[in-house]
Amino acid sequence: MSEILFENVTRRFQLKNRTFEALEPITLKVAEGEFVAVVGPSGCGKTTLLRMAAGLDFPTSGAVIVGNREVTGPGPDRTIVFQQFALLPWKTVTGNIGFGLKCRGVPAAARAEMVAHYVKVMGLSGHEDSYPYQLSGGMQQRVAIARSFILEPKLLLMDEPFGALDAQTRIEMQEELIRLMSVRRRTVLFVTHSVEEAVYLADRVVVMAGRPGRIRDIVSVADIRRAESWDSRPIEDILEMDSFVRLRTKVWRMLRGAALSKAEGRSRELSIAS
Amino acid sequence: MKQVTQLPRHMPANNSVAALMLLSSACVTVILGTWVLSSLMGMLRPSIIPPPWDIANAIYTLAVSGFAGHTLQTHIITSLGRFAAGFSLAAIIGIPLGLIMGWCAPARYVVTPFFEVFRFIAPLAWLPFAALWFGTGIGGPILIVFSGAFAPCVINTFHGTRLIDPVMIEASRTLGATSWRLMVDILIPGAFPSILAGLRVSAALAWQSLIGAELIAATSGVGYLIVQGQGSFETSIVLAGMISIGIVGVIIDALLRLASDRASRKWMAAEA
Amino acid sequence: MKDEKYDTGRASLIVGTAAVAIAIFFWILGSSLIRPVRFPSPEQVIAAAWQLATNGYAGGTLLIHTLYSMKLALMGFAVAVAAAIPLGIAMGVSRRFNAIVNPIVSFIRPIPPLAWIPIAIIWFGLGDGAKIFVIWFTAFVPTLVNTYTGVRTVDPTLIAAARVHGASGHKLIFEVIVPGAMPMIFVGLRISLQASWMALVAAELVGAFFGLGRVLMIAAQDIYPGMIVVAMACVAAAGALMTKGLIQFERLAMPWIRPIR
Repeated sequence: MSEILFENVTRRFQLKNRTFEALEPITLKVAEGEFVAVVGPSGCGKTTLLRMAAGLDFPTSGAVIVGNREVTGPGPDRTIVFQQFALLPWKTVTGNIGFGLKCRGVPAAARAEMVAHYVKVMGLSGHEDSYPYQLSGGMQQRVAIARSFILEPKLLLMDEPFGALDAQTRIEMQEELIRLMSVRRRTVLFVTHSVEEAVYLADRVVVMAGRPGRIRDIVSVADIRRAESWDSRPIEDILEMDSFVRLRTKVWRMLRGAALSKAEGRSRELSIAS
Repeated sequence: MKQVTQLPRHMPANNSVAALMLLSSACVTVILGTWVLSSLMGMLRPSIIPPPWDIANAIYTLAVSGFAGHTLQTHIITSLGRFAAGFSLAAIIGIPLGLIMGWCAPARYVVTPFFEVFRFIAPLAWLPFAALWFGTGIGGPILIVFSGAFAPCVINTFHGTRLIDPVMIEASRTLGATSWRLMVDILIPGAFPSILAGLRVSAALAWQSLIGAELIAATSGVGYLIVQGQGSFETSIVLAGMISIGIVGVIIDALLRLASDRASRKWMAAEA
Repeated sequence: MKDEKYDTGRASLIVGTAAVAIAIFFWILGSSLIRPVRFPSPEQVIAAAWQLATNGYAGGTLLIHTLYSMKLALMGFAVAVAAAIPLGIAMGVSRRFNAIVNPIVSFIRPIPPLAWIPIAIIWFGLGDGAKIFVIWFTAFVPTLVNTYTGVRTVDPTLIAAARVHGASGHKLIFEVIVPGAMPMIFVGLRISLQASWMALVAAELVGAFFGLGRVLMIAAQDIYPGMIVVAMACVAAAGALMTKGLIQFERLAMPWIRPIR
């Protein structure tokens, strides 16, 4: 039973005198509770895929099915965490975190309790009444994640969520995400530019190629992750492990091959891919 | 298997833009139609709301035989002349002033107190002095136009200089640029989009202030025309005059916007 | 620019005060050279100010005139804005509503507000009705336009984020779009306020019983340059006061904006 199903999904844009094929027919299944990362060059359509799963964009043909129902619009069962945080600037931390609950109609008292819980869980204590402009990038992203998590979504969509953070905060957030996942398993579709991030976080890494967007290959990380108990080790250890390095290089080579094949042709690509 | 469809589903159909335009045109037609019908049926008093053909007739008469001393064209040209004079003066003095204020702090400190004081004086409040100093000459309206157009020129130019990335200046310095070169090659092009935006605001304010001045203390010009029309209860002439004023204002703004777009395309880097 | 390190508050204060002092010196000098009718000296201005404040001029003291003018302008402003903001929001949110109303707005927009004075007099006569109409009108358009623009330029990512979290319909409008548009709405309010103040002064210049415009007009007729300066200064001061008041209100209404300077 898959949580997300992209079934022969294409996306075509109508330009002035031609049609631009952003995505070739893509078929991808994401299982329930699976963490899938999507990497690829700029413009390969990975964000488009994410937005289609969210219901903010729609396929030209094919279907996007989440939890057995075709996606017809955005909703709190498929929240997105954006790269730019997208917090409502006019609401405080508590206001932002509780926003989805408010839309759902949860009464104020119950809301306050749940929000307080997540404030603690995400390490935001002491900032409950701060406005986004008073918070650092890392804290803002924590608020954005709390805002999503509190809704207990079936599907968590993340669009380069740590891309706007500095390197150290980024690593902290990655560890944070692993910790939250270990507390409660969720289905995640995670788009990123960083190969390391993808391999560190995901059960499977989908490597995409661009123009037109298509899936180049899929690398499975789950078995090694479980076998070597990555989730209970500090990130510094994992970055050094042979298995991690090998997987990372494999994905990286695929990405490079995808970039080269645009200019040089299929034969070169075949010899690089391992 | 799902059906393959051509257009993205659940998205607004592309012809909704056309549908909206149809709605707009329909509403305009309804309003115009109501106007024409009620005029024909005698429901509207022609001295309060004249029928459309009266207005058209008024425009024709104004253009051919004139009213209040001149034809419509002459009135418009007179007004434009005053506008151009006051506006150019404001720009010629205001833009360099804004640049200098942005360039060196002492200039800013000196100018700011005076600027803040004079800025809040509504342009029309200068009318008494305009009358005292220039009588009924052309100096009066020009003064009013100037006082309306001056502030936005200076302010926008100054803000334009503020928007220039100081890193660009430092980089140019390390490449050996002199102060003069910095001014010409960085300051002015960098502030240019703001300057043009300021010119558009100035022009609108200048045109407004001019009309106001002509309403009260002039013997020619479109402002004078409509006030005379009001005095003689010639509603069609007043409306015809208002329409001309609006059209001239639109043309001035459109010309400036054209220049502004051209300039931003050339100097795209200085996008605020 | 090159003098960032001199940008201290003290330096600006010193230089500014010195400049003003020098200007006043030249003023005193100049006014003794130019005919006093054309150009009042500081003593004349101060004398006129004193008279206006205590004995009154053109029918009332300084306070009465200023308050009268301000009251009229603010009333027109408030009524206009109360209509313009909801209308602007409706136009921004609903494409259909916009399609209906926009042609009318586009046609009316280019006409300078003061140009409505003659037609207002024809329609409403010479009384206060015409004045209120013009002031209302002057304040209406900038706020409407800016509200509409504000609504349409709310960051689409914010709207997407809100929709993703379940906001729609009324909630989306009041919790996301309106706060998002507020900065631009306030810009419109500032423009409207200054415009309605200008319109009021203009209207009072044409004909009024009280108000700063009337003071200006009588002073001009009496050829009393000192009083002219005083009236102009009052116009400027009242305008500045109301604008600063609006800015304060703006800060209170939008506590989430990063304070500038």
